[in-house]
Amino acid sequence: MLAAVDNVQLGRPPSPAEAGCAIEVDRLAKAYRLGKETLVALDDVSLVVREGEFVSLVGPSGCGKSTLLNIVAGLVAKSSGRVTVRGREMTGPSRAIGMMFQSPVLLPWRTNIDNVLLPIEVFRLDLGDYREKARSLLRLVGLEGFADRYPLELSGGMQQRVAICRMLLYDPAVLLMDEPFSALDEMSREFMNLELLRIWDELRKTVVFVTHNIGEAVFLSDRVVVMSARPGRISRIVPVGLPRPRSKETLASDAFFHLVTAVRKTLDEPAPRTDS
Amino acid sequence: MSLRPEPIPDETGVTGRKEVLVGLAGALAVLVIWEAICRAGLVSRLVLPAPSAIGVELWSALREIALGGPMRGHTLITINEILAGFAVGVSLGFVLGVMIAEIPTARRVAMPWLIALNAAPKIALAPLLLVWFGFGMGSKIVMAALIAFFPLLINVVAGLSQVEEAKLKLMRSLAASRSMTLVKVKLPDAMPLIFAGLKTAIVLAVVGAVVGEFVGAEAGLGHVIKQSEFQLDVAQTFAVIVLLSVIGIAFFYAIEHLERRVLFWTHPPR
Repeated sequence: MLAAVDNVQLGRPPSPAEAGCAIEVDRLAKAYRLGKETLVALDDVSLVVREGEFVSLVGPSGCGKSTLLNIVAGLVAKSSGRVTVRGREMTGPSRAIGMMFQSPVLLPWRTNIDNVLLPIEVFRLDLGDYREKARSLLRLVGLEGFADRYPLELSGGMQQRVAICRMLLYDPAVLLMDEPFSALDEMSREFMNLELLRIWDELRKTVVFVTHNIGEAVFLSDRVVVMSARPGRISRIVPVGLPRPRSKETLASDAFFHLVTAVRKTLDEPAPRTDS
Repeated sequence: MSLRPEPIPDETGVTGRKEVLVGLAGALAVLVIWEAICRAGLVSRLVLPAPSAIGVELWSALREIALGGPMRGHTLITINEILAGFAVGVSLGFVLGVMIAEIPTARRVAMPWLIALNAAPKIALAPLLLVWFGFGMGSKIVMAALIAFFPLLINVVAGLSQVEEAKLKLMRSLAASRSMTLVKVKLPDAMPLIFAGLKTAIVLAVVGAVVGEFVGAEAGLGHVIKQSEFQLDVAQTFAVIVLLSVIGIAFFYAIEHLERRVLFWTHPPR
């Protein structure tokens, strides 16, 4: 009954692209109440992310990109609208989703491999079934020799690679990454971008990646979603046609430069465009 | 010029040893001056006995402890009171601290009482405890427990409420239950503060046991102090105070040693 009403409201049957859609955000709004004032963090945001697509969210601080990510993750309650992940409406955190945060958030009293295995303990699954997989993931990110060491023995970039393994271990369909490399220096960040793309090429998971770095967004993504602040809205979606696999040469190409310029121009526009 | 790397001298070790030597020399100097003042007859030995006199008393006390004289019994009783009071106080403080930090209703019910009890000078309760729990070890254990209880309670609550938000968010994103988050993240994260509370608690447990013995006891080191004061044996008073200090320091360092082993991640590897 509800689904029928929704279809009427959408006014069209699902397109083939939507049939393979991993995330569907429909007229999402989020308002915070601060005393008597109401702060609109997100206003009428609709977005469809296809299976296996890499989408970045960029925008000025306060545009609600992290709020959008946290609502999709089921960590923040929405005010209105609908969020579905692989056809299921999100009402709370789900094992279909893997997350990464600004900091690695490793537990310093656990070895790196035990940090990777943390979700399995939380899910009360059999650790023995996953130990080998945890080791092979650490091998995938080049940290096999550090499995039984502690996070504090690793650099910031290495810690984020352990966090990648933790996110991937239980094989979530959708990866949500909230400025995961923003605390790293430029060189490490570029290296981590290349690492992430290498891993993504292997696994082809759906990724939503929040960043304030335009170059990073263009380099990684299939599409860059540009958001504007007050109220948080999608002002434009820039498709990135750069060929894959991408490499350091991509960063030096004219096409990359033009796309970065296009995204930057959109960000500089004073009012959100209404024709997106 | 050789390209072989020179071993870097362990400067911290050298300065550490030097500092210890300077500290020992300073302490020795104070003792020598103290001894000189007493020998010169500047202070009555009923007010301040010479270090050598205290040393003699301490030696005979240690002999009795080693060979089985009355001091052994007193010392063991006081140690028992300290450890039992510490165990009871710290256990209650831990359990209540976790409940207050984790259960809002428990916080609302318990907080007014705890604030009132914490503000009350607990030592003033000692005569009352004597009436309630008798002249034996019971009243001393309760006294020690009562004052060892608060530092742990406060540090458990503080530790559990200061857990990094990012860690809690990680656990929420994994849909972790409250108990899972408590055991896997909050308690380990609170450990440094809990250990700080344990170290305060053990020192206070010594105070509690001795105060309990002062108010009314038939045995224990606090009882010995009172008796020696009646007999104007000030040197023995001092000797027992030194003995109590050594007991307190030993327990303190035992906990610190445990802390270093348990909290290995707060002492990052080189």
